Amino acid sequence: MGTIPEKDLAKCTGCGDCVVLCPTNAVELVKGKAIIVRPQDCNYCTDCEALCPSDAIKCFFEIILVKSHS
Amino acid sequence: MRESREMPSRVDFLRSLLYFAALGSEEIARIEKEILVRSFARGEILLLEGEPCQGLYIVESGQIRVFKSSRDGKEQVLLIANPGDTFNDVPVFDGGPNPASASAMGPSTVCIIPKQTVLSLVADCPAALAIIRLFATRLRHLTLLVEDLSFRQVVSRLAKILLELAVVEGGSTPVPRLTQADMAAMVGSVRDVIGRALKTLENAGTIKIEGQRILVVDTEKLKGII
Repeated sequence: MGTIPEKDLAKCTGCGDCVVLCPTNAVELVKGKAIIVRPQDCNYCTDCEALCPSDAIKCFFEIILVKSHS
Repeated sequence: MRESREMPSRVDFLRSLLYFAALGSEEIARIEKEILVRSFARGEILLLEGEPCQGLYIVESGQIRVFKSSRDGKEQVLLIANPGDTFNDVPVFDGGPNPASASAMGPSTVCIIPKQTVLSLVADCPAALAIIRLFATRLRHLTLLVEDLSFRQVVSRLAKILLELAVVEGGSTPVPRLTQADMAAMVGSVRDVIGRALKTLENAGTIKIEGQRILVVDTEKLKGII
């Protein structure tokens, strides 16, 4: 399974914006909180992070130097 | 450019400066003996960015423009130094080259205090010297940041931070983790622009984005974008 966005459920208000706008339908509301229920479908597009009005979603990127090409 | 030795009234001038306010008459007199006074015509260059530091500059009369230049000739003024103002302080303390250039805005006279003379004032307090050196290093870093924000486009600034931050996996340095908002804050932009800038860098073949991994695959190409 690939990495998925990190969610701070304490901040999530359950507005459902990320559920509606997720391009791969990976998110659903579960007990009033947005949960990535199909992590295998998440392509880490970061749209959910950009649109979340309560700043509850973080998409971290690791910055890695590929040695063989340096 | 004309050169002359110091004049008697210069002692009072030095005493009036914040830099030397705490010094006694003997020390002021010692500094005065080592000062080099130079006069410049309008537009004349006093010192150039990147050259070895000659010393601490103090404006005695006139106005001096302290500025950074880009490769394509753009300029960013950092300071207009008026009588009593100092400039080129940073390299005196951090030992690096001049961080910016300076030119006279009109007929101007400056006092140059040799680096070693300035350092001798704090020689008996290594702790103070270490702290000043640290501040100078940070100030130089901020000067470079001004240069980046003034002269580089977002793609170029992002390329620079990716190059600075990228580390090999499994090494002793932990791999940095940043959101696009974090990157935006570092390059003085907004998240949406970072998304597009990353795409531009990927299309240029400098990086590859694989899920949450940004792989710096061609450092030479990335350097070419900076």
